[in-house]
Amino acid sequence: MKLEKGVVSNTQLIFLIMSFMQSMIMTVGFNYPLTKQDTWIAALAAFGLTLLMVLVYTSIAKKFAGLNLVQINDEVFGVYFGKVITALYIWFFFQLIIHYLYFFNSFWITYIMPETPRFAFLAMAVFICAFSIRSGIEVVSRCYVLLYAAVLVMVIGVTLLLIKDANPSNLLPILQSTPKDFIQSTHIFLTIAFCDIVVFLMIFPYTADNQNLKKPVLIAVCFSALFLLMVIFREILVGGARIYSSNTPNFALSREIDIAVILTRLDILVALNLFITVIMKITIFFYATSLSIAQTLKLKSYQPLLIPLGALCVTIAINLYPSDMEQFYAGQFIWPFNAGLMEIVIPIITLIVIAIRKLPKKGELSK
Amino acid sequence: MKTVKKLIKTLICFLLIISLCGCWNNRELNQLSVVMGIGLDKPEKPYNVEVTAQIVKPSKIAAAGSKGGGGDGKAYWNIKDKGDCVFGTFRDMVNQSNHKLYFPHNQVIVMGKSLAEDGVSKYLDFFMRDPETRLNVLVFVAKGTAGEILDTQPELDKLPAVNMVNVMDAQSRAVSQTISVKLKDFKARLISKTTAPVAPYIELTGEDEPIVTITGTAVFKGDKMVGLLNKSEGRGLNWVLDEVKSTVIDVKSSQNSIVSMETIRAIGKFSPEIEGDKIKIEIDILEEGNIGEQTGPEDLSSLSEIEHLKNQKSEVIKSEVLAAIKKSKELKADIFGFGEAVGRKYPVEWRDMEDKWDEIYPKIEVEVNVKTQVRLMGRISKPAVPE
Repeated sequence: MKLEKGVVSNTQLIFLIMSFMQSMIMTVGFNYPLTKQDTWIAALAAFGLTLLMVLVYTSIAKKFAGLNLVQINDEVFGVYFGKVITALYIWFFFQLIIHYLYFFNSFWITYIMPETPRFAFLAMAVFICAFSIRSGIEVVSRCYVLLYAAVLVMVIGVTLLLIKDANPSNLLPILQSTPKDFIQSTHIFLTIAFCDIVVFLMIFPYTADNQNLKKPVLIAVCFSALFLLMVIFREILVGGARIYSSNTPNFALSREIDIAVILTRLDILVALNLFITVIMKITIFFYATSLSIAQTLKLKSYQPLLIPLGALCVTIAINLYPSDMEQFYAGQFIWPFNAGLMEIVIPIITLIVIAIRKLPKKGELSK
Repeated sequence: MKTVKKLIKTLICFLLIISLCGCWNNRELNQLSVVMGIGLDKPEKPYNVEVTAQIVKPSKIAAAGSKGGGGDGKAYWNIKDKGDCVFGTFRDMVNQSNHKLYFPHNQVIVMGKSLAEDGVSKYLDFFMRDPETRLNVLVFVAKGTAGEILDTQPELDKLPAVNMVNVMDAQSRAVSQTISVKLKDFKARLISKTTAPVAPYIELTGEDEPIVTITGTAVFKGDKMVGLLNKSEGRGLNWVLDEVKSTVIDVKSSQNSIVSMETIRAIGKFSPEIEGDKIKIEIDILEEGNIGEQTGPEDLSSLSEIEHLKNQKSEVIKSEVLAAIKKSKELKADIFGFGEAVGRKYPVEWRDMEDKWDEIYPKIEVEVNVKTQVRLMGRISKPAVPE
């Protein structure tokens, strides 16, 4: 029995992935202290590795077309050990929700609403996510096309408005970061910005043509990488050294837009757009979490899970870290390893096990 | 049942309106003390900093007619307070002001000379960290105290802070003798290990009625002010940094009379070169402009005279650039960012040089190449003298 009855067309899948990945422009702040003006090279390196990982994800999905991650785990690792892996993934997706919630809320109360309690903001954000996925992935994917366009217009607009302040010499000297920092920065890009598309293994079975996923996913990842590079170049060229100590360089720069004193103070528009990017990301994770719990527990629908899950998210995200400094440290040095296990190691192991056990066995998938 | 459901839904919609009145800590427009300018001074011990905040009186701004009118015509109110650090002092001002200060519209930060000589980093951190403040404000250093600069009623503008912004803007468009520095540029230079921050230097001139005047460029070393560039040295700095938008250069004609040349376009570039153990900076300046005025009787419209004027103009520009470099070498302050340029081009050699740049900088060689053009001669070709 299928939990999700909607069908996402492959074009919509491209937009879904691209809007899911847009929030990568928020997390570049983790990379600048490490690689400074070489950050764009690290992003390119991570993008190259991501293409390999995309092949891993899509070939897993192709082998088990029509099955979601939970079912794949059951097939590959057996009913019991598969459940352990599934539990890890559920915990991983859930963690991503609360980390993104905390991360974005920190930004929001730093700049926009300094004295608003975290609860007020988080409750609203989670409510929006839960409300949007109540109607299923098909509705979400349709409206993300619009939201994606809004954010794209904002990012390109801000870039155009800032281009007059660009200073190409900020890119020099090139390749000055130590190999250790460079690898860590690439690692952050790979795990935080790119490879969390592993969550789409929960959505691939609901696409219209799930035999040919490679093309739409690769297109989406390539466009997202271009988008990310544009933002990084903008920040390095316009901001230079003074932006590397900023918590949210993207937003800090948009506050500096000043076209003839008239076109200025656009930051609230930019903040709202950043909010959209993060909401789009959290929604997908929320969907994946509730869907995988429902699948594991063999529920008839994932909708009853939304409210308790949302309440859990809010309460945990409020007190996730004692301070922002710890969150920043965790984002730079702890989370990439945590995520690397779920996004890179386990999918590769899955693929190896599939090859060894010669899965899927004939006749099994037809039922 | 259906109507009850509909009613409940409508009721919820109306209840939601209540939440529209704003967020947790909303502040209405009439409850804001809008700060337009900030002055930082060094007071007597035991305090560390004296802060002046210039607050707009909205009613006076809206009133028609210029200053005077009825009673006290000042459209601003300067709050002064002393304290240990900037943030605490600003908060402490609520004891005098009826509202918490509102910073996003702040235009200028003026630092008194004694405070600037003491080091400014510790006082500027607030302006880079606080969510309300912006990096687009102009930075100034005041001879004397910032408080008295901010308390000088300008003749044309209503607010001293706005006046300073306008003067700075006009100055950099018309004469470019002082570099215009925003807090973001100042921050970038503070972060740099070698590049020295600069800021326009203002003082009060005029005998009966004081007038705020820009008179030079303050040079910092690290975060401490160490010296001053005069107007022509300041223009020398602007030639190199490609900040000259328009200016007027006085040169001598072949008959030794003064000719004023207007600059319309200028491009400044520099690139470092390491030859052996010597560092050479090559500065290229392209300038073009028109004849603005002549004082002698001679005919300037001959080709040889134009050639002479071009050379004279080049010499003046070159001497200004060299004067600025000489001054900065004396102060051991790399105001041009030569060090960073070396670091960009020679990253490997730079690693050893970076820490010793203070000693290296006064020894670097500088070559200035100026190329000038005279384009137009104005409406007349000869002065109005009998032939």
